[in-house]
Amino acid sequence: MKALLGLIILFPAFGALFLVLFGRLLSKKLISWLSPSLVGLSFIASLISFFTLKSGTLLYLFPWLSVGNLQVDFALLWDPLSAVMALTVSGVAFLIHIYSVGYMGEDPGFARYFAYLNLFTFSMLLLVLSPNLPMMFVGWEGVGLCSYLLIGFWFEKETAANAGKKAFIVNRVGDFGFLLGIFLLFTILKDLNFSYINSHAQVLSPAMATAVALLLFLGATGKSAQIPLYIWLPDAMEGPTPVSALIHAATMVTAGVYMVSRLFPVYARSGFALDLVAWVGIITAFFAATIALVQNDIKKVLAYSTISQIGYMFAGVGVGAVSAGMFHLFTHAFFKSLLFLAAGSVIHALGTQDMRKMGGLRKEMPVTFWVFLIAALAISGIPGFSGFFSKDEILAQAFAKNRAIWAIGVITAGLTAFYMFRLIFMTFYGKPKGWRHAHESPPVMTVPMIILAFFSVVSGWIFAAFHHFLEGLGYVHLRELAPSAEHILVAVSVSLALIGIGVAWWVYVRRERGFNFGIIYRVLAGKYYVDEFYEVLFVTPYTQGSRAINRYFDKGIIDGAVEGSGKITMEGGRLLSLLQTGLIKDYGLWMAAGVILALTLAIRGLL
Amino acid sequence: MNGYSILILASLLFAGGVAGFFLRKDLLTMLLSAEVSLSGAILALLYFALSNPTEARAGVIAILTVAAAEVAVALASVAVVVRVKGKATEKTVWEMKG
Amino acid sequence: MISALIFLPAAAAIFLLFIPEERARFIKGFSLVFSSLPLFLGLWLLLRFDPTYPLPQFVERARWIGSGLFYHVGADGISLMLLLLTSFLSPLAVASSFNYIKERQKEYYIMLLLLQTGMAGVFAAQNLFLFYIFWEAMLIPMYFLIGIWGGERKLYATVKFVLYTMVGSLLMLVGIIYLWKTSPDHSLYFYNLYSLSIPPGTQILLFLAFALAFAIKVPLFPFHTWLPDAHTEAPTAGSVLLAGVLLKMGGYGFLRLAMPLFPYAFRLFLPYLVVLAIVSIIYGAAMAFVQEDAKRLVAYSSVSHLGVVMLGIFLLSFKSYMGGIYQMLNHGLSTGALFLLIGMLYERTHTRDMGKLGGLAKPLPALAAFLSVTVFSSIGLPGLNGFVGEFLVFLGSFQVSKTAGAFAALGVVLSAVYLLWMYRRVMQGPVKNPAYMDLPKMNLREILIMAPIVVLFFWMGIYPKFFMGKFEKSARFMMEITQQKYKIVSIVEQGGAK
Repeated sequence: MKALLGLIILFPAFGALFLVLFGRLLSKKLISWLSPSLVGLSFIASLISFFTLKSGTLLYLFPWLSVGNLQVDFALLWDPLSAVMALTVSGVAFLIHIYSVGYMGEDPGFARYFAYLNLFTFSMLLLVLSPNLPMMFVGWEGVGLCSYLLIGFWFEKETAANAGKKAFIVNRVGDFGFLLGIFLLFTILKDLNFSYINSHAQVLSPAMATAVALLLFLGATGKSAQIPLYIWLPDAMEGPTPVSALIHAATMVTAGVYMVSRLFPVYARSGFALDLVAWVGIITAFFAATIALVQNDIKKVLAYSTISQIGYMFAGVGVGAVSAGMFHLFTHAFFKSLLFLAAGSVIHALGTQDMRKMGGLRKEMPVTFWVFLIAALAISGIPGFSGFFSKDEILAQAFAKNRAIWAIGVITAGLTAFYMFRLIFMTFYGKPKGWRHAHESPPVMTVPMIILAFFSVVSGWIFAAFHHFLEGLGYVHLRELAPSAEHILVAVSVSLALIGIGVAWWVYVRRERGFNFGIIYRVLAGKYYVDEFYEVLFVTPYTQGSRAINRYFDKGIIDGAVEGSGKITMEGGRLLSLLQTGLIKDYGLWMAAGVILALTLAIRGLL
Repeated sequence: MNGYSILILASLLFAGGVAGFFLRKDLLTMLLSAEVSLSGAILALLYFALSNPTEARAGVIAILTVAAAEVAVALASVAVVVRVKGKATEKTVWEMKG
Repeated sequence: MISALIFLPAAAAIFLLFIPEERARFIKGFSLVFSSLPLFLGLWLLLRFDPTYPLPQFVERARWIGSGLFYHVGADGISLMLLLLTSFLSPLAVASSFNYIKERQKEYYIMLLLLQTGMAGVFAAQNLFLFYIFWEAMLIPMYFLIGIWGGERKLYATVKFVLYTMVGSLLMLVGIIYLWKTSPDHSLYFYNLYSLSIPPGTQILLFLAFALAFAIKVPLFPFHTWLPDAHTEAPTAGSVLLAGVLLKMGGYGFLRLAMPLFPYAFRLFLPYLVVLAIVSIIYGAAMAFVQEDAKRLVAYSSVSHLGVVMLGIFLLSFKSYMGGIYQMLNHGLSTGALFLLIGMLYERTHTRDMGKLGGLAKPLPALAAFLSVTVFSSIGLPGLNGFVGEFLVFLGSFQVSKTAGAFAALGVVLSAVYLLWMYRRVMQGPVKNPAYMDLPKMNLREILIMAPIVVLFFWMGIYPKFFMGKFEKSARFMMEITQQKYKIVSIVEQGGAK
C-alpha cells in the first residue's frame, strides 16, 4: 500500500507534464476535467493513505544524491505531520482547481495556467512528503518556481512580471539561509534525514543548534513572508486570485511553519532560536495587521492578513506549541483560501480590486457574501468558528509561556476583526459606488466556496483529535492550563474581537467613511516604507556599485591593463623600428658593433 | 713570406673593405668593398688551413658561396635600382626606413 | 574508437574542401552527419565503459615522433563525460548555424568540424605533448570563426582572444619542455608524470606557468576580460562551443595537470586560488547584472558559474570535487542552451540589446518556455541539473571552510537576480516593438535542437547517479593523486583495462 504515497505526487506530476507538452492541443473542456480530477485523485490517495498507512511509512523510490558520505534518497514519508499537510494541500488544491475552471474560463492561457497549478500541487506535496532536507528543498524551490510563474502569469503586465521576479529573488535570499542551514547540519550530523536529525538533536551544541535553527528560519521567513522578508507577498497579489488563494494563503506560505514544526527538536535544543521564532511571528502578526487596517485593495488587505496569521502560527510554534501552530495552519488554510476565493468572486463580477469602488454587493452576490462572512467570523476568532479554536489555542499557550507575546497576540486579534469587517462593510454594505451590474458567480465557483465555508466552521471542532493525532510524532505536547484561566483568556480575546467588529461597523456603516489620522495613516498606507528602505539599503547600492565597477574597474582597470600591455608592445615596436633607417651603412655599423661586442666578450672570457 | 705577413695582409684587406663600405656612397663600390673584406677573411682562413685543414676549407667554401650569392643577387638588385632610378647611391633606396 | 571520435570531423572537413561552395545544402547535411557521428561513437563507448576502473580506458597508443613521444589517447571517466559533452554540443552548434550563417558557408563548416576535432583531442590526449598540440590547434578554427563570421567588433575580439590565450599557453609550453627534459622516459604520459618528484622551487614556477594558461581559459577573475568580447562577437555556434566546451578545458587542465603535477605549489597557492574563485562567483554575477547586451550577460554569468566549478575542484573535498566536475557538464549544457536561444532571438530581432527587446513571450511562447527552463537550470533550481552541481560544491566547500562556502553560496541569490532580470526584460512586460508581434515561431529544427538539452536538464537533475557513477572512480583517483603530496604510487605505465 506504500505505493499510494507515490500516487499522491504522481497524479499532479503527470498533469503538469501532460499539459506542458500537449496543453495547446487540448480543448478547454478536456483540460478543465483532467487537471482538477487529477488533483482530486491525489486527494483521494491521501485520504486512503490516512486511513491505511501507519505513521512513519517510508516509500523509497531511488537514490538522488549519493557522493561520498552524502546519501540523499528520493523517498516519501507518511507521518502525522505530513498527513495533515498532504490532506490540507490536496484538498484545498482540488477545490481551487475547480474554482479556477470558472475563474480562468475566458483566459487564453488556460492550459498554461492549469499546467502551473498542477506543477504547484506536485511540488507542494513533494515538500510535505519529503523525508529529508534536500528533498524538502526541492519542493521548497519548486513551489517558489510555481509562485514565480503564477504571479507573473499575466506577464505582459509590468507590475505582474516585476512582482514575480521580486518574489523569487526575495525567496532566494531566504533559501540562501536555508542552504547554509542544511550545510551546517550536515557538517555536524552527517545525515539529513528528518528522523535522524530529530533523534540526534541532542548532539548539537546549543550554539550550533541556534545557528542551524536561525539559518533555516531565514528560509522560513522568506517562504512564509515574515519579517524581514515578507515584502514579496503583497506584490504577489498581481497573480490570478485563485493562485493567491492556493499558493499565497493556504499552502505554500505556510511551508515555513511546517518546516519549523518538522525540525522542532532542533529549535527546541536552542531556547534562543525558539524565542526568536515566537517574537518574529508575533511582531509580524501585529505589524502586518496594522498595515492591513488602511489598505483599499481588497486583495492587499487579505495579503497582509495572511502575513499576520502566519505570524500567529510561528508564534504558536515558537512558544513550543507545535500542534497549536499546525492547527492554526490547518484551519487557516480553509478560511483564508475561502476569503480569497470570495474576493475573487467579487473581482470577477466587478473587474476592480479597489474596495472604494464596491459597496452594497450583499444583494447581488448573496452566496459570496455569506461565505465571506463565515470566513471573516472564523478569522476573527468568534466562538464556534474554526479560527476561534486554533487562535485561542495559540494565545493560551503563549500566555503560559510569555505574557508579552500573548498581549500582542490579543491586540492583533482585535485589529484582525476590525480590518476584516472593515472589508466586509466596505464591500457588501452601503450604497454601490461606481458599479452598475454585478452578478453572482457560476456554481463552478460558488460550490467550492460553500464547501470551504463548511470546513471553515467544522474544522475547528476536531481540535482534540488533531492534537492527539499530532502527538504521534513524539515531540509535540501542549501545556495544560487551568480551565478558569482558559475561560478568562477566551473572554478577553473574544471581547476584543467583538470590539473590533463593533468599531468597524460604527466607522464604515454608521459614519460611512474612515478617519484620517494624518501621519499615522500615511505611514501605514506607505507600509512603513520598508520597500523603500530595502531599495536604498540593498538594491540601489548593488545596482550602482555593479555599474561603477563595470565601468571603472572591469573596463577601466582590468581591460585597461590588458589593452595597455598591447599598447606597450606596439609602442615598443615603434621605438625599435627607429633603428631601421633604411641606410645599409647603418645596418653595417650595427653589425660591426655587434661583432666587436661579441669579440670583446669572447676575449674577456665572458661568453 | 711567413704566416704573419699573410695574416697582416688579410687584416689589411678586411680593414680596407670595411672602410670602403662605410666611406663610399656608391652602392656598387660598397658592394665591391664588402667583397674585398670577404677575400680578407678567406685569406685568413687559408692560413689557418695549414693547421686545421677541414674546418678552414669548409669555411672557405661557405664564404665563397656567400660571395657568389652576393654577386648574383646584390649585383642584380643594384642593376635594377640603376635602371629604375638612374643611379645607385646609398640614399637612392630608403624604402626600408621604419 | 576514440581516434575515430576525434578525427572523423577533421576527415569530413578535408573532404568538404573538395565540394563546391554552391552545394550549400549538401555541405550542411554532411557536416551535421559527421559532427554527430562522434556522439554515437561516444555513446557506444559509454556502454562499454567500465566505471569501476579509474584509469583511462579504450587506450590507443602508437609510435609517433622519436624521443619517447607517442600518439596516445584514451578516456577515463572524467574525460569520457567531457568528450560526450563535446560530441553532444557540436552537432547542435552545427545545426544552429543553418540559417544564421549566410556567407562563406563551406569554410564555416570546415572550421566548426576542425574545432570539434581539436576539442575532443584535448580531452582524450594522454600525454602532455599531444594535449598541447590539440590545445593550440583548437585556437585556429576559433580564431577564424570569430574573426570572419563574428559581429561588429570581431577583429578586436578575436585578436584579444587569441593573444590572451597564447600568452598563457606559451608559458605552459616552456613548462612542458622542462617536464620532457626531466622525466626519465620522455613520454610525457600523464600518469608517469604524476610520479615525478619535482623540487618545490621548480614546482612553483611550473605551477604558475600552467595555472596561468588554465586560469585564462577558465576564466578566473581577473583574467576574464577576453571572454565577454569573444562571446559577444562570436557567431552563435562559436559562443556555444566556447562556453560549452572551451571553458571546461581550463578546469580540466587544473584537475588533470596543474594540481596533481605540482601538488606542493598548488597547496601553497590554494588560498589565493580559492579567493579568486569566490571573487569570480560574486564579481561575475554583479557584472552580469548590469549588462545591456544579452550575450554579454551570459558571458559574465559564465565567469560566475565557472567560479563555482573551480571552487569545487580546488577545495579537494570529494563532494565539492565531484560537484565541480558535474557543474562543468551542467554549465556546458545550460550556458550552451542560453547562447543557442539568444542566437535564435537574434536571428529574428537582429538585436541583443535588452533595452530594445521585451514581451517576446507573447509572439514566441515556445522560445520563452525553453528560455525559462534554461534560465532555471542555470539558476540552480532543484530538480534540474544545475542544482546538483552547485549543492555539492557548496556543501563540500562549506565542510572545508565555512566562510568560503557561505560566500560562494551567495551566488545562489545573485544568479537569480541577473538571470530573472534578463528573462524579465527579454520575455516579459509589454511588447516593445509592434513589429515583434509577427516574428516567426520556433521551427522544428530549433525545437529539435533544444529538446535534447532540456531532457538532459531533467535527467541530470533528477537522476544524477547515472552520470556521476561513470566518473566517480576516476574523480576519486585524480583527487587522491593530488592529495598525496610527494608519495605517489607508481602507476602502471600502459594503463587501460581494455
